[in-house]
Order: sequence, then C-alpha cells, then structure tokens
Amino acid sequence: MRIVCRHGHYAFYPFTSTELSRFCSKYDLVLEPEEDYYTFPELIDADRYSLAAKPWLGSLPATKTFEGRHAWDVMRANDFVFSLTTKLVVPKLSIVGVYDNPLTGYYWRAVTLLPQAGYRDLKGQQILSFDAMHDVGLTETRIVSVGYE
Amino acid sequence: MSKTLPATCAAGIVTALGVPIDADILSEGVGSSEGVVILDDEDATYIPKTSGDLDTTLDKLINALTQVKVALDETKSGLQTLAGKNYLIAATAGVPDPAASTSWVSNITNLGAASTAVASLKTELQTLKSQLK
Repeated sequence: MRIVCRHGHYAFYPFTSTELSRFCSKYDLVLEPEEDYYTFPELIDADRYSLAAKPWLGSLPATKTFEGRHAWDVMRANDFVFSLTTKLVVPKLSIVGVYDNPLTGYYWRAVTLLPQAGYRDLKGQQILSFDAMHDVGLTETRIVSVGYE
Repeated sequence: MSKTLPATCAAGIVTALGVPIDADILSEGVGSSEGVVILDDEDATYIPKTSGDLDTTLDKLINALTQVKVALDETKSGLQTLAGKNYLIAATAGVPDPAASTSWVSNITNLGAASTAVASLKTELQTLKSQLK
C-alpha cells in the first residue's frame, strides 16, 4: 500500500481491498474513503479553504485566509500538520521529534507504524511530507522520499 | 478552483462566517451591504449585492414621479377651471370672459402631455423593478 503524507495530511492508497482491511485490523486503525484515497476520519471533509482566526477542522484557528484545491494545500498555507497522537490538526512547530530511522539501501526503514509529519531529520530540517510503501506482510514501511514543505 | 462564501461589509470591513477578512472590495464599501466573498488561493474579493440599492432607488424614483404627475394633473385641472370661470366678469363688472389664449391652450395641452409621459416613465420603472435580476 502506498502512503502519501502531504504537509501532515495522510492519504493511503491500497492496491487491494484486503490489503486495506489487513492494515487497519493489524494496527487497529479506522480509515475512511475520500476522493481516490483513504484517510483518518478526522481529516474527512476538511474545508478546502481557511479564514484567518476562524477554527479550521473544528479546532485550531487558521493563520491565513486561503483557498486551495485539497485539504493539504490549506494545511501547507497555515503551517498545520495532523498529529497522529492527538488526532488533531496542530501547528507544525508544535511537533517535536527527530526522525532518525536508518537509511537502508535507497530508503528509510520506519520503526514506527507511521512517521509523524513535523519530525526533524538529523540536520534539523522539519520533514513535513513523505512518500512511502507499506508491506502488510512484512510489517514494514519503506519511505521512498521526504519533503520539507 | 475558488470558494464563494456569504459575506457582509460595513465601514469597509468584510466579514464572512463571523470573522473579518482582508478582502478587496468591489464597491465603495461605505454603506453596509450583503454580498459574497470569493476566495482564490491567497486572494479574497468581496462583491456586494447591488440589486437592493437599485430596488430602493427605483422605489424613490417611482414615488417622485407619482408626486410629479399629481402636481401636473392638478395644475392642468386648475388652468382648465380658470378658463371657464368668467372670473374677469366679476372682477370688472361686465367685461366678458376672454377666450382662452392660444398659449394658454398650449400650456394645458403640454401639461397633459407631460403628465402622460411621466405616467409612461413610471410604468417603465415599475416594470424594470419587477424584473430586477
């Protein structure tokens, strides 16, 4: 299954339906369909726009008035990321952590199920996006690329 | 892609969904108004609904024309009454009432035409008001 994190917005692209059900069952996750991917229920139907000072996704006041094509466009504009711990949208600077998984070949191997967007790499840069492949059989996530915005 | 939200504007401050927005205002923005704000990327543009202003203006024009027509009709009626009153007989004891002068008749006719024109304009404005888009 492909997992794409775009500025803290997580989207899951299963190749088969059983892959998705096994993934959710194994990690006790609930994912819901939206557009052509699955995501966390808390991110479903997120507004594609934000008004400065008005809470976005019901919790955090937006910092900018902005309209985008996708929810992650709004998250990028407002410097928000989705917290895997609280299941809430939070400011990216509130995420504290270092992503120190080892490079294996041409990819990183994640020890945790999902990397938290906003963790920093060993150079101190905040990783806000990544593209990964998850093997349900091997219980392994291979992060193919990362992004800093 | 863009997003349109209902909005209001008062004293140059645009408000949508309860929060003030830094938006370009496509009107004078002085009087209070209702309208929409269009969000497109980082741009926000407020467009007021001006049909309400036009509706009010038409109402005032129609009322003014009604009063003008009443005044014209009363003036015309007064002149016609005066023309047949023989008031000069009473005033000068026996001097016959002069025939209405050509200019007097013309004035009465003009007043009638003006009244008709005002009535016609009023009807047109009422039609326009009923068909505001």
